Amino acid sequence: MFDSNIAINTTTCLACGNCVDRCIMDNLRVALPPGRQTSPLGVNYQGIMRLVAAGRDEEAARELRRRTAFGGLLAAWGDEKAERSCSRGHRGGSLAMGSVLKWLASTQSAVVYSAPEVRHPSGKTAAVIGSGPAGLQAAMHIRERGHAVTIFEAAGRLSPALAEPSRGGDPIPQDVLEKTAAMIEAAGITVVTGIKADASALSAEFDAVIVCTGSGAEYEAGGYGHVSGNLFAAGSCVKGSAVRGGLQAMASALPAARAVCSFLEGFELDYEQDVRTANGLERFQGLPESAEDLPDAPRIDTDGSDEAAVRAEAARCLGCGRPVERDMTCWYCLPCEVVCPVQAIRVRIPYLIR
Amino acid sequence: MQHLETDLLILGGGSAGCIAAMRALQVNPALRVTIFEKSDITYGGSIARGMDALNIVAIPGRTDAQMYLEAVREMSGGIVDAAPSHVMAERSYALLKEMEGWGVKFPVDENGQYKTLKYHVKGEFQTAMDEPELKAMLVKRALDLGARPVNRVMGIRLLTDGGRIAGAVGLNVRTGQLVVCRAKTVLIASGGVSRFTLPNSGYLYGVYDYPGNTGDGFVLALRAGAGVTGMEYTQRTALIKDSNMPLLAICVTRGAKVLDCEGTVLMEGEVNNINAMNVAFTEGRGPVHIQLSHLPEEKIREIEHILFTTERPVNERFFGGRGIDFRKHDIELWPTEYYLCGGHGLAGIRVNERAETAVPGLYAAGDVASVAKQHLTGAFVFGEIAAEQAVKYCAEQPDTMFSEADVEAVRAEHAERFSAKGRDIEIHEFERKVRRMVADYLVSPKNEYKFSLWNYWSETFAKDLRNVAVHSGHELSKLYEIENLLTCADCSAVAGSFRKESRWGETHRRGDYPARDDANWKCHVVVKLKDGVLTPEKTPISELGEEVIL
Repeated sequence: MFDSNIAINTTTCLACGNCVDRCIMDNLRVALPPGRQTSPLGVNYQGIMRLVAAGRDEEAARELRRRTAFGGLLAAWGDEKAERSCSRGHRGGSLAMGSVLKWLASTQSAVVYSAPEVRHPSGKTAAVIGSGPAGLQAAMHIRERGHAVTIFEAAGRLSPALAEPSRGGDPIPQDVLEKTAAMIEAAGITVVTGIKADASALSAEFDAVIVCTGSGAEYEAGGYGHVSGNLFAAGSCVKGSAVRGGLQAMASALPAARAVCSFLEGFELDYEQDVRTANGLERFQGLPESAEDLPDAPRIDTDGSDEAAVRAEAARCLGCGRPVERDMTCWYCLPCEVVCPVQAIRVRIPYLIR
Repeated sequence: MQHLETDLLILGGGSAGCIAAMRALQVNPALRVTIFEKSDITYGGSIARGMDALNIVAIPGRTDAQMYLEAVREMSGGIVDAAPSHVMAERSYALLKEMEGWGVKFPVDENGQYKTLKYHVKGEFQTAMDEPELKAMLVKRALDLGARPVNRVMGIRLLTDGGRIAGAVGLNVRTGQLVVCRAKTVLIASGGVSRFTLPNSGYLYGVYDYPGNTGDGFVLALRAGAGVTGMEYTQRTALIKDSNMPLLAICVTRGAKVLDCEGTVLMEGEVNNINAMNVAFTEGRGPVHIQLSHLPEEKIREIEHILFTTERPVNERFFGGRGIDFRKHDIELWPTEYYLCGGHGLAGIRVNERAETAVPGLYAAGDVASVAKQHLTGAFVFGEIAAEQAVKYCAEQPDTMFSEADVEAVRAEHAERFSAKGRDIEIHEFERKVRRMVADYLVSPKNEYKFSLWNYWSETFAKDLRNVAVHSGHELSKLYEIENLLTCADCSAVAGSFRKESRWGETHRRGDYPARDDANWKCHVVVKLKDGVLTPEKTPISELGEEVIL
């Protein structure tokens, strides 16, 4: 009765999900690759690896930038959870995702550290207290939605803790911190340093306040980081928070930042539901057949500065994610093809009307 | 179940819905605007990409609103309320200028005049436009101003408070979850009834209009107490055989000929006799075909450019696959499917020139509304009008609250339907059968016996609906869609049986009442739900200066 219309080139597909998001007949789903599924920021490693392997670094950097404004910090931290989940783990070692990110952060810094597109000014103001990973993430998200954001940092400089050696890790390199700070400024976020801000005083002055002071577990926060009135908190200053490390702190600030935006725009705090649920993205279910036949290849260790090694490592990506046609409802309207960055999807006209 | 709260809830993020969101936020930037969009808002709606023309523009010095009103009345058998069509034409030039401000390209000739094309009987209202990214541009503007889309959600029930609108319940078409949204005012902009009959190709979604349009808005409005009209206007257009994509106006307004099988020219240069194509088929002189081979190369290239880039780019693949080159081969047209839609026909929720329906706080715009043959211009102008009215309404009216019992009733029905256990009808089989019966009994030539046979099937389908196996959220949304389609078909049966005359050529031709009867039937047939029964009534046609009776 039905004909399968959607052909996917699995050797080039980035699993970015653009086609799935844009299909107006709800005909497509994406099997998420494991790295993207486990990455706290949802970074699409399959897409990045395939683009870097093909020498398309600028596009790879854009794919990274699409998920996070803090690709530089992520490259310095590494994405341990995502690497652990990689299907290559048992086939020569998981992909060196952090190394490839470092390559992009150094060679494509104009893209990786590009300032966000900011929406039409809303006329609302928000204060962010603290400029650690959670504070930076919260500030950036709220700013992108068109609200005026001021960061208050008690120390004399932005993100002081990141410049110090942390548990088991090196300090973030100075150039990464500088470029990140420059992006914050370019986004139009005001930074006030050297002042120990008082949350309740700022509550009267700003439309919303979000505390991200990084420690102390002093705030009793309900769902979405709401403390009371127009006061929110995120990261490890929330009581009972299990946040460990910069990357987790950063990711944990997102739900709270979304709630702050909803609050500022007059909506309820839980307005934005889980995007993955809403979009019906599917869990990774085993390797694609084509990947099963590939020979094992050992991991190439590199610090991300050797181009040949980086490209060879990126080429080890098995490409576990892909979109699939689900409901055979294609209207052959083609937005899926238009939004595919690598022409990996092709719509055939259904046989009945071919 | 997710709970939302907003000021203006828009059901449908297509052309009308998006411009309404934009307009509302321009008038009141503090307004909360939420859009339920069944697909994804970027390309959702009948205009997934762009359009080749803004269909109705009254350009000062060349045409005017009065001329347009006369044209649309002549093309609609006189069944047109004056004020809505008049106000649309009046605002059309300002709309064009506004769209130019967004960056939309309207080509001009060597004298700097907008290129216009002849589609209407009285003058050249159709104005050429060249914008393959129209929908994406519109969406970006709406979101930039702060509109909040909720993608993959279709409206399945309106909530009211003492007769006044109070919100809606939506269904996520992927997950099958319910979303309850409290709202001060609701705008229905969810398109026409596209999946009405089966197209000849046999492919369920191979239809002319966006296949997600299943008359959801018509049914929402009916149940809330508003009227629908023009449901007997079962429209059938000659489309490209099998692919059912549009191109008639694009080719003919650029010099193409439409011929019957004997080579008789039915139209050339202007789309002035669509009915002749239907008659040719009925009398055995089909299929009709479009001839372009006499046109100069540059005209053919212009047509190819429009067909292959702007509206449905897949045309290129379709014609390529069949080896059709316009320089050598004709394009075969068949009248293959029927649909209901206020954009091309007369079917829609009854609205006046303020986009108001009979329910306080409920507005309708675009293909779902009854503004005759309004096309894209109507969707845009009435989207804006509805938004302006809704903003005013929000400011003047106190808060409302729907009853929890109403939500509970929707939830219980939803839970009952969301199951495959012990049920033996597959959803696509159900849809196929419903649409085949619609085509058998509800389109021209119509007669009383056919309507009575439909009534049997309508009752049968109402029972079968409870026996459809639902395996996923997506299939559940299909079940709601087909239920809407059935209700629209019932309205069409009621209205078609009530109008005991023939009008609009093949669109409403009754074998048992073959003559047009202006003395008794120069009026609207409005269907409302009264005590659970679809009830037709005659409603007079209003002139300029008179109130439209809703």
